[in-house]
Parts: sequence; C-alpha cells; structure tokens
Amino acid sequence: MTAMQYMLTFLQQPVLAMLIRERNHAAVLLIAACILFGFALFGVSLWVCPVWTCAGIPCPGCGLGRAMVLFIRGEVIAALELHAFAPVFCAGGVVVFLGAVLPARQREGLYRAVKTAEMKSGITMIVLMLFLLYWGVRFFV
Amino acid sequence: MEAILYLAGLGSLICFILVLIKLFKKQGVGLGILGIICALYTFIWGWIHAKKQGIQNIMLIWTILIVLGIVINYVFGVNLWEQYR
Repeated sequence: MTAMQYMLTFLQQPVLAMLIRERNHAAVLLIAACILFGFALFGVSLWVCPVWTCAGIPCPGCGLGRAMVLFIRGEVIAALELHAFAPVFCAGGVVVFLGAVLPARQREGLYRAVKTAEMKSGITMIVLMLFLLYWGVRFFV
Repeated sequence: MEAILYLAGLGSLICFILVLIKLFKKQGVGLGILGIICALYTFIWGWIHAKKQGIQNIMLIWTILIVLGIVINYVFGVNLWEQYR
C-alpha cells in the first residue's frame, strides 16, 4: 500500500456514522453529556480530566465542554475564545442526538448519508486532525 | 489530601490509557482519536464493553478514582491546579 493509499484509507474512516450505528453508545453518551452540561450550567464540574489532574497539562478536550455550554447559551464569542471547536462539536452532537432518537428506518438513512459523506470527503478525520493541531498550537504557543 | 488527589489523578490517567488502547484496537483510529479528545467517550465505551473486553476491574477502579477526585475537589476544597482557561 502506497503512502497516498494509506492516507486515503485513514481519512475515509467513518466516525460519526459509527456512533449513529451503535445506538446504545449514542444514547448513553448523550445522557451523560446532558447530566454533565446540566451541572456545568450551575458551575459544578462532575468530570475531572485525568490528564489535567495528574500532570497539570490540558488534554485536547479540556475546556470543550464549558465552551459548548457557552455556545448553547448563545455566548458565541466567549465559547470560541475558550475552545474554537465548540460549534463543530455542537453540530456533531446534534447528528448523534438524531441518531439516538430517530426511528430505525430514518436512522438507517441518516447512518448511510453520514457514512457516505464521511468516506467521500474525509471531513471527520480532517476535523479530528485539526482538533489535535489546535491543541498543539494552543498548548505550545 | 493533595497527595491523595494526585494519586487518584495518576491512577485515573493510567486507567484512561489502558481503556484507550483497547478502544484503538477495537474501534480503529477514528474513534480512538475521539477517545483522546473526549475522555468521557472512552469512559462510556469502557463500561459498555467492560465484560466483553475483560476490563471490568479497570473500569471499576477508574470510576472509584473519579468519584474520589470529585469528593476531594468539592468536599475538601482541594484543587491541584488552577482551572484551565
């Protein structure tokens, strides 16, 4: 396999589609996120980041939850200042939410559509790579 | 209390890495990266697949350590690092 083929295979991996396909995962993830966000709205953080607690170094996702809460509350600028990927993850959350609540037939349609979009454009993997790059820039600059 | 919190954090990090390795092996790079970004996903995936992957003990220890961390944080008011902003 050439480097180019490997790169294409890497980019064409479905991520959101996998979450939609496994309904239990999506549902539990959403319920947990709702509980965490609910507490976060009152300033209580129930999730302690293991990397942050242990090393004092923010992990790639540190601040994302709070930024998403700010974004949902309409404080867009504050959300983007805290974490630039908050809107992207909110959009991803909406897709996962639809995957968890839609009836089987519509969910199958959504799964196919998302999978095709992810495999043709590689958008999710590109976003995930950019996310890690953003963490590196935020951390070192 | 600070030492206990640090040890809880260290143990939590080790459990996280162990589950993350399983996640990468079973679900591929895409969901593995999602697991790095969102430790909560790794945690939930770990519990859902705990029996199948034989990681019940790791998940139990990780959960206990998380609860311990929260208790020390809120009940005793100990925080090792300033909240990241």
